[in-house]
Amino acid sequence: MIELMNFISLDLLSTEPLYVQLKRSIREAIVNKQLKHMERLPTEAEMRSIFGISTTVVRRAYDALVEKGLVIRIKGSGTYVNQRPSLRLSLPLFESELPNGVTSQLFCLDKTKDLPTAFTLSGVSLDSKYWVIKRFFTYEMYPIIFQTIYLPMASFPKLDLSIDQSFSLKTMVQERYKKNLGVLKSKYLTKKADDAEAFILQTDILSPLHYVLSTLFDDNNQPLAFIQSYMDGHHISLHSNPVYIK
Amino acid sequence: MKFFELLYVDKRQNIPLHMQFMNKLRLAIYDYQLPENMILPSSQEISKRLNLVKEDVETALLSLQQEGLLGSIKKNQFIVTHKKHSNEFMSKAFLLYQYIKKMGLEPSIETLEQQLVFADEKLAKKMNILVGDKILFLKRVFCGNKKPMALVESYLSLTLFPDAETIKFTHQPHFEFLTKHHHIEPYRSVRENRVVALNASEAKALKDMEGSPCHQLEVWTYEKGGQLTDYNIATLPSSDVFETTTLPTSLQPIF
Repeated sequence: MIELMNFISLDLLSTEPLYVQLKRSIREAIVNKQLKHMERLPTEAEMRSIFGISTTVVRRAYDALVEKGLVIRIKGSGTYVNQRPSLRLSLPLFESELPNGVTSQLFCLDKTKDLPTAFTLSGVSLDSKYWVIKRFFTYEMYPIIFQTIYLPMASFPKLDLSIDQSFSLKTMVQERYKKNLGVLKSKYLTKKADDAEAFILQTDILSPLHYVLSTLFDDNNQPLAFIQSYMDGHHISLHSNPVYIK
Repeated sequence: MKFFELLYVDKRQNIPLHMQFMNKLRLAIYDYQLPENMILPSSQEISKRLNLVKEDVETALLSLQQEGLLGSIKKNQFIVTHKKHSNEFMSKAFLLYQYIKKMGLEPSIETLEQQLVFADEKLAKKMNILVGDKILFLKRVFCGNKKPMALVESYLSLTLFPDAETIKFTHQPHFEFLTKHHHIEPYRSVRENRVVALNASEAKALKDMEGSPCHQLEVWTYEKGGQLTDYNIATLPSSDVFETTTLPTSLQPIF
């Protein structure tokens, strides 16, 4: 119990609600691995006697943590830390062989006239219309990658008729549309999660994300697809193979 | 035009208008809302549309140019440039100091901390050593042309490096010293890349904003015999971008 108190810092004079402060302290301890998987958190009554805060405050903080999947309640036993699995993917991302148990799920197919400005580099025609495909990959029940894919409608006619839940972009481009693939160029950026990204990735708003912008070209160096990928910054690490220093 | 919507300045705020303009433009470039190579409207047009003094706009643009966020194609005409690290940064090993030199910048090092520490459980696991082993800890900022390029926390194993206590590393990269005095050369490295939110002290060291999402690289360097020479945590400014090109043959079917 004493150890738990080390990283919980509550400022009673702050205007920030106590439950938010409590939630943040515990969340940080989980993310920094100070709290181990399945470690038991004090009960609401215990927290009240340690910090002199009301059980309502503790319950609100725990509720919010349960919602994020950071802790779990076991009936008749208590509240336990649930360390999300950390995942190492190799760099570059799309060369990465995803571990067994990763599945993709499509959840939105739409049309748009505007490509995100992040992609509007020289050479991209702006009068085109695009399919917008949104999907995410899950691993052990957790969403790990959230992707938005933009495909020019002129190059991918009748896409809506044949796309299924677990489609593969590479197979679709090569087999259904008989196009030859060129290179995939990616930029690795960072981003604070907005509400939609945080919701889909089950993380907090403003938490740090990997943000990868990729453009897939055909063999004539014409852009075929634009892909935005978002991943949790803490739980997903990108790993390079050993490299030799000259 | 979207440019002016993004850069809307608010007269009711206490911050001077041209400062608001500069901050908003910087954020728009950081957040990739303005595409690369986009030509900015002339300072005359900007000042007219946003109701700013032309000289103030020019000063703001020039200072963003100095930060490396804007390039200049002609006199008084600016384009958006994103600071980038090439393929090489990701796919080949490098020593930061040499890399900065290669980018055509003048490298320098500012040491914030140097002390002997005892490995705790976490560090022992990372470095494959015993809990309680003595480690030399260095916290330094690597700069290019005096601007922070990375905040680097290095942990050097004392088995390779017994006289660590007596050395002052103030402004030299540590491998320069290791090679010269101990004939230890870096040979192989392994990297892992996360994204973290900057805390207050990191933000201060990198002259960045607290809470900014930044690339953080864990780097393990080994010498030829396979011994770990150092373990580093390098935090890069939030504007940094890496690029890779993937060949079609290596694209995984899942993608």
